Formats: sequence, structure tokens, C-alpha cells
Amino acid sequence: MLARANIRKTKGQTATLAALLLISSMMLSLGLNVLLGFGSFFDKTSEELNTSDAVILIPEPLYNEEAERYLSENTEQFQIYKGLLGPTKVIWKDAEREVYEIICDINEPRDFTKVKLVGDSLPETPGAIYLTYRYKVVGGYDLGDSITISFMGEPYHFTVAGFVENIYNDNMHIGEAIYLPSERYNELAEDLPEYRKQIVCANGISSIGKIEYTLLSITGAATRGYGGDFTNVLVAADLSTIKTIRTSMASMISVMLIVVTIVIVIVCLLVIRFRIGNSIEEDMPKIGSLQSVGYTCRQISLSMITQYGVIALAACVIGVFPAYLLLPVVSDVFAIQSGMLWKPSFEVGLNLITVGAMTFVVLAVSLLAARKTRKITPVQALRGGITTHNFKRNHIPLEKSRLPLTAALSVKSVLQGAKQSIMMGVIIAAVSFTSVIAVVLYYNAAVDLSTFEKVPGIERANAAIAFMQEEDMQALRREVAAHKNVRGAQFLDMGKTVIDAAEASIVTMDDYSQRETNNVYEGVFPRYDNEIAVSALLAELLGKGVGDEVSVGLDEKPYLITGLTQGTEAGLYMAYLTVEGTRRIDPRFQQQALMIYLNKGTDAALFTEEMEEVYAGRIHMVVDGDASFAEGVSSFASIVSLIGLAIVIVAGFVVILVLYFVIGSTIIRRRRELGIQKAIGYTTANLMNQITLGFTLPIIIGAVSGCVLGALLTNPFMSVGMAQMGVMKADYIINSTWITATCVCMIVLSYLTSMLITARIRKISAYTLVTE
Amino acid sequence: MALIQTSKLSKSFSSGGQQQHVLKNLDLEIMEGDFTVIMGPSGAGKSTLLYALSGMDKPTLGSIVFFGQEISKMSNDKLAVFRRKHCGFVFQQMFLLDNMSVIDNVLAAGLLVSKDRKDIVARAKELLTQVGLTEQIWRKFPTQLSGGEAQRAAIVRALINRPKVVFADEPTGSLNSASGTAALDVLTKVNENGQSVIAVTHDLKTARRGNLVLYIRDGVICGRCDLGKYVGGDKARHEKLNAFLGEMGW
Repeated sequence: MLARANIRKTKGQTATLAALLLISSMMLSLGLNVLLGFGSFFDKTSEELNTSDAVILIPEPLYNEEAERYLSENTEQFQIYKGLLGPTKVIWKDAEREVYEIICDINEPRDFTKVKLVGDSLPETPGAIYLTYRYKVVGGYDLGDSITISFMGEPYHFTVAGFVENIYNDNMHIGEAIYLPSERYNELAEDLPEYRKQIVCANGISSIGKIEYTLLSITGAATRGYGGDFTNVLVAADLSTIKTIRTSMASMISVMLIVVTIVIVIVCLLVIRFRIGNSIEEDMPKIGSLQSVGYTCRQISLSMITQYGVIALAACVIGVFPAYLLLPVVSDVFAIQSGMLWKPSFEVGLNLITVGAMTFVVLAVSLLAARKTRKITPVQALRGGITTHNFKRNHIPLEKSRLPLTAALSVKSVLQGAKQSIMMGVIIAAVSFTSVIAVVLYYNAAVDLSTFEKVPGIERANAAIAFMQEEDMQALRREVAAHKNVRGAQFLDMGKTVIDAAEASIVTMDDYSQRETNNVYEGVFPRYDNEIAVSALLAELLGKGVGDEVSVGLDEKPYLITGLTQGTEAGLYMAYLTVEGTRRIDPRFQQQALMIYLNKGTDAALFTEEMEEVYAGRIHMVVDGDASFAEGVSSFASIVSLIGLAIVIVAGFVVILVLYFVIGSTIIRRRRELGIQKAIGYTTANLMNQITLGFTLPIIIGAVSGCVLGALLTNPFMSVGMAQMGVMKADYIINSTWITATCVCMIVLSYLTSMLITARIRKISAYTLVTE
Repeated sequence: MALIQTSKLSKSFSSGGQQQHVLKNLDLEIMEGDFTVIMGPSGAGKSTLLYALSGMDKPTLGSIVFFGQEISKMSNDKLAVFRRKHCGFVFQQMFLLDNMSVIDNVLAAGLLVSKDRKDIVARAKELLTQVGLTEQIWRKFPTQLSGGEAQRAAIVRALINRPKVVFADEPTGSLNSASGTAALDVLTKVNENGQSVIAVTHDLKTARRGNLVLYIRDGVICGRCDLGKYVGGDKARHEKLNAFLGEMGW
């Protein structure tokens, strides 16, 4: 009954607090749904499709009896499907895209690693094609659309009949997939014999790295590099690597959402504590009269706890629902990177955790704050409360102060309400800190992508050419380097190996000092043939660091770790060797993939066309590095910039709500004082300025310290957040102008909001004071 | 010279959907330098009249000309500026600002008008000393004061800007006899110095200090008694007031 009366009395503040809790509940529900739901969706889909532990694509002509025997002996079971793998050209949203595609028969019977249609589909026709979901969300294709795909320069025309899911069809590791009706597939397989692969789906494997490496040796196949000869390429991946690749973005973003939610919840708890403290002071005579008629302190504090418990429960329950309205939007955003159509379901357990956890913390804080009522005796309360005899220091005596009157009165109230000022400063600092992180993310993902492009850790070249083997590859390099539009050219080849029995991708370069993307964060790149640099996650897996020794290759050759690298590329387990270092484990190794750095202003697309003509018949593939890199980074960048923007908007909203709540309460609490001031001649504007200035000081201190902390801690914070993705020392650009602008915006927003809220002082009249 | 003139001054409140006419067409003239006392039964409209005259509240109808200015049509902010310059207030509940020391309470009003900080601080100290508040009390907070001390501090705050009129609403209502007398002595002295005082009271002692007593009933001034200047224990004056109040049915 008391709780209901309290809620009715403070409708505006109740609504504000409910809005804050609702936002928190919504974001927590969103974060938990993504964190747990998306991961479990991947697992469920994987289980539903009976996905194998690993998939290995072996060139059909190279698959031999020895390979089959090896697979029989080193896997619990395996099944082989037919497929094609090779470079294709296709238009995605008006731009030509050149990627590796796996082409399969949609009707081929599969026991495991099955394929399923997602969403609607059209009846199968001879010209039908089934594409991975990324073709829809990124490529812009829809059911019934015509699509032209070029294989080996020959265009083939199809009609989109549906979208499919197969766990191993990703955009980074194995490749996008195309599924065709049996007849059309067979025609294509006839046309493209060099594309043919045996797709081995295996269960019960010990180490995919070891199996892959052994099969490379048995079959004489090659690993896929940057470009490279696709005809003899062997590609392998295991389920855990694919899961990391396809869900890491969702994990990172959900963690960010949860962290932001925690900040908002802390803000809510501070506000609740403040509000309970205030209401005890405001309602002291009422508390006294309740005590005098027999209410116990426990009953009175219970009414306050119930009040906030009910608000929290209602707001959190309601907040769960908008999360489910936003989840499809979030799912679409993730689909850009993951290629998975995640249809979130209503998770009762998660929602109970969200509502339960938030209600619990609100109740706990209310309980602690309401304990103050225990100390109040009825007499004290009826006389106006414990503050009656609470002698305070007279801060900023007016007779000595040199400040203008309004400023002096503001500072006085800041110092007298130190707890409230500190609370406001802490809240604004927390929100500013969060905003700065979001602004830094937005700036790096949408304005200046130069650092963002380094996140994958891939060497950034404008173009790449995979040459066929020639006698003097260095002569070829010098020839390309001499081109008028080229400022540099160097070989960078990729391969696979095992390091201390763990699978790893290897990068081989002549001279790492020529590398333009330096992703070593500790130590240096290798210079001698017995040196190696490894990615941080590989080092963590191996339990090794700089200065330790690892054994590389099946012959277990010893190498000294000279450096640790970071980046999200190639399944996160990377190793870097010199050319001679690679030849120690693979004497057949030949350099093939040439990275080309163009002069500023040179069009990479035109350059690659020119190279195709000049080196016709001598190259496997030419890659427009600018275009492929832009495509790779753009999905990641667009998601991060969207999240950054969303957090900034939420932060602004939180600031407005908190100010509305705190200033609203302050005006109610100081109603008498404001009435007296009006009676002696203060105008509404005087009082608005007085109160706003009183809040502005802690707001400025909070905003500045929050922004400074944000600027200093964003990279360490992001390093922790992205460590799982292989980024150990984030180095995002902290643009001082943007940070300053964020700080100024925070202060201006707070000031304007404060002025708007304090306008309600107009309603307080001196006359009301004497008649109340 | 007339300090305040009202013409057909009316004030109504709506309560429970019904209009309650508290002041009805009052035509009134208060002269400069007068100590005017407004008396009447509870609910007669005394305080409503006081606050309308002082610009704390606006009339529903009619006009109030205060020192040559029509104040009934002024905006709230203009009225605030007008009040700070021309009016001082003494309330029954004192209404001192609890978060400020006594001297800060006085200066919070004084510094609104005067830009000369030194001058206003000196005046505040002088007035505080005049009303018998020691330097030790100046530094205290209102909650640390006795009722009498608080009321004297409130009077100093009312006087700090040298207002034309001091409006007092039951100035001795919450004081004991000795404190009440002390407060009245201060107000009397203020009046003797040429400032007008308009006080609402139920208290005979307060009423005796006035030179003009207005009796209000049901929103209408139904009687006035000119007592002449207060000169201490004047028996005839007391009897005249008692007779007037008896006539009014008080």
C-alpha cells in the first residue's frame, strides 16, 4: 500500500527509472541472447546437419589409395562427396567479386555435413542455383534473380532458387558455396575438370593440422596461398576453427553490449540509492507520522524496497520484449559476417536470468539504501529528521566569496551536496567513458579505416599475382617492380604446417622488414632460417613465448620464437618463416605469390587487367587487393560502426534520463528553498542557472575524466575484448578532435538537458510556499 | 502619499470545481510610512490580500498600483525583480534557507540587488548587530537558532535592500512572548525610520504597534481604525483598538 502510494506520488521519476531499467534489461537480454543464443544456434545447426569434425578438399587427380588408407587409419569415419573448387567471378551489388567457390550437387545424398535450405525456395529447374545466405545479405540477390558466374573466364547463367546453409561454407576459410541440380552440376564438372575435388568429411580426428599436413605430403597437393595454383590446392578445416570464424564477431559484440549494460545498470543503482536517500529526507515527517501510528522501520523500508523491486521487475519484464524486436535486426547484421540466418527464439531461461539478476541487484541496493530508516526515531522524524541537527560547514561564505552570486550559490550547493555531486560526476564519467569507446570504434570503422584495416593482420598489398613456376622467379619480381605504377613487389606465400602437433598457417617472405603491415606486437619477425614468429593465440595454445623453442613440420625441426603477432586472419593460428626457414620443413617450396604495392592514385583494377594481358599464360591468378580487402573489411567495419553509433545514442539517452531523474528529484527536494528564493526576489532564470551550474561542475569534471580515461583505456579495453579474436594489443586511432568533440557534446547535451528540466522551477511560486 | 492603491481587487480560487471568492472588489489605499495592520477571522482573506499587495501572488481581477507601478499585470520574473527592490518579507515560519548561515541568508538577498559587495556585507553586519544578533550567531545555520533569533535574522534579510515596504505575515505567530516583543520592536523601529510596514496578525500586541488597523471579513474590508503613531504603552490607544475590534465582532 505504501509502495503503491510512493509510486503514484513520483510518477515522473518512476517512469524515468523504469525507462533506464528497461533499456538495461533490453540490452542485457540482447547481449545474452547473442552471446549464448548465437553460439548455441551454431551448435544446433551443426548438430542438425550432422556436421563432421573436419572437412578436407583434395584435388581429384591427386586423391590416391595411400590417402584413402591414411584417412581410414586416422579417422573414426569419413565420407567423400564430389565437388568443384576454384576461382569465380560474380557481381555482388554492382561490383565484380573474385573469390574461391565450392560448387556441389544439391541432390547428392549426404549422411553428414548435410546442406539445408534456409527460408523460402523456388521449385528446382535445370537453371536453378542455390547460394549461401551471404549472397542474399551481402550480394543483394533474392529468389528468382538471374545471376551470372564466370568460371575460367566463361560466364554461366542461373536463376536463384534458394539459399542454403552448410556449416563449412564460410567466406574466410574454405569459401562460399554454390549448389546446383545434379544435371547442371555434372555439366559443369565436365567443363571444369581442373576444379574437381574430393570433399572428405571426417569424424573422430586427433589433429586436423597433422592430417592436412600428412595428406599434403601423400598427395603432393599444395596449400592455398594468396592466389596460387588452385588446381592442386588442398584445403582443410575443422569445426572449432569454423565456429571461431563464424561466431567470433557475435561474441565480441555481445560482450560489448553486456559491458555497456553493466555501465547502465551501475548508473541505475546509483540513481536508486540517491533517490531512496532523498525520499527519506523529503518524507521525514511522513515517516515520523507512520512510526507514531505503529509502523515499524522494517515495514517502512520494506515499502521502499518493494517500490523499487516492483519498478525493476515490471521494467525488466517489459524490456525483454523490445530486445526480441531488435534481435532480427541484429541477426541480419551478423549474417553479413557469419553468413548464417539466425532466427532467435524466445529463450525463457535467458529472460528469467535477465529479469532475475536485474531485479535482484535493484532489491539489494534498495535494501542497503533503505537501512537508513532504522536509525530514525519518530520524534526525530516528526521534527524534520536527522538533518535537523546535522550541522554543516558553511562552504563558500558569501561575505568572502569573489564569485558572482549565482555561481557562488551553485558551488555552495555542489559542496553541500557532495555525495550527489560525486554520484553525478561518476555517472557522467562512466557514460562518457563508454561513449568514447563507441566513438573510437565508429571513427576507426567509418571515418579513418587505416588502423582498422590492420585488424586482420594480413599484409596489405594493392594487387597480387600468383605466377606459375618459372626458373627465375626473382627476375619476374624485378620485372613487375620496374613497372611505372609499382613502388614495390615482394613474394608472400602461404601454406600449412604443424607446430608442436598444432595446425598452423604459415606465411613465408624473403624479408619481413619490407612488410607494410607490421603485426608483430612483441619481439620481431624471423630473420634466419631457424627463427619463427607465431600468432598470439598459437603461442597461447602451445604455452610458448618469445625465446622459446617449437618443433615445426612432421620432422619436428626446432625453431626459435622471435616474435608474437596479432590479427584475426586464417583461423588465428599463424606462423611466419623466412624462405629458407620454410625450405627446412618443405624443400619443394617455391615462391609464387607476388604482393604488389602501387603508386598512390593507381587504379588496382586497371593494373590487374594489364597484368592479366602482359602475363597471359604465365599466371594462375591476379587479385585486385584493394577490392578484395575492402570487401573483407567492409562487413566487419559496417557492423562495428553500427554498434558504435548505437552505443553513442544509448549513452546520450541515458544521460538525458539520469539528469531528468536527478534534477527532477533535486527540484522536488529543494522546493521549499526555491520558493523562499523566489519570495526574496530570485527569478526563474536565476534559479535555473543556479541549479544547472551546480550540476554543470560535476558534469564537466565527470565528462572530462571519463573522456580522458576513455582515450587512455580504449585500446587496453579493446585488447581484452578482442583477444579471443587474435588482437592482443589494439591500436585504434584515438582522434583527439573527436574525443574533445565527444566531451563537449556530453557537456552541452547535459547543460541543455539540465536547463530544459530546470524550467519546471517556473511552476514553483513563492506564494505556494506560504500556502502549503 | 499613497504607496499602494488597489482598485476592484478580487481574488478567486477554484476548489473542487467551485469558485471561491476570497477577495471581493477591494478598493484600498495604503500611505507611505504607515504601519498597517490587517486583522480578521481565519479564512477572511488577510494573507491573500498581503501576498497580492506584495506581488507574491496575482489578483484574479482589478489592479494594484505599487509606488506608481501597475504590478498586477507584471510577469512572474518582473514581479521577482520588483520584490527584490521594493519589498521585504517576514513570515511566521521565518523561511530562512537551511543550508546557509545567518549572514549568508541575509547576503543571498542583498547581493541580488547591490553590486557593491563590501557595502552590502557591512550593512548586513550592521543590521544584524542592531537586532541584537552577535557575530557568533551570524555564522550559525538556521536550525541552530532559537525562534526569536531566527525571526530577527529574517527581519534583517527583509531589510537588507532598504525596501519601501516590509510585509509581515504573523511575524510573532511562532515566537514566545519575549521573542515576539523583540521582533515587534525591530519592526516598529523600521517604521520609525520611515519604511512602511504591512502586517497580518491575530495578535493584539502586534496590532497595537500599527497606526492603521484594517479589519477584513469574507474578502471585504469591513472596518478601519486609525490609531495614530505608536508611542509605547498608550492606554487610550489600546482601548480604541479593543473597542474597534469589539465592534467588528472579533
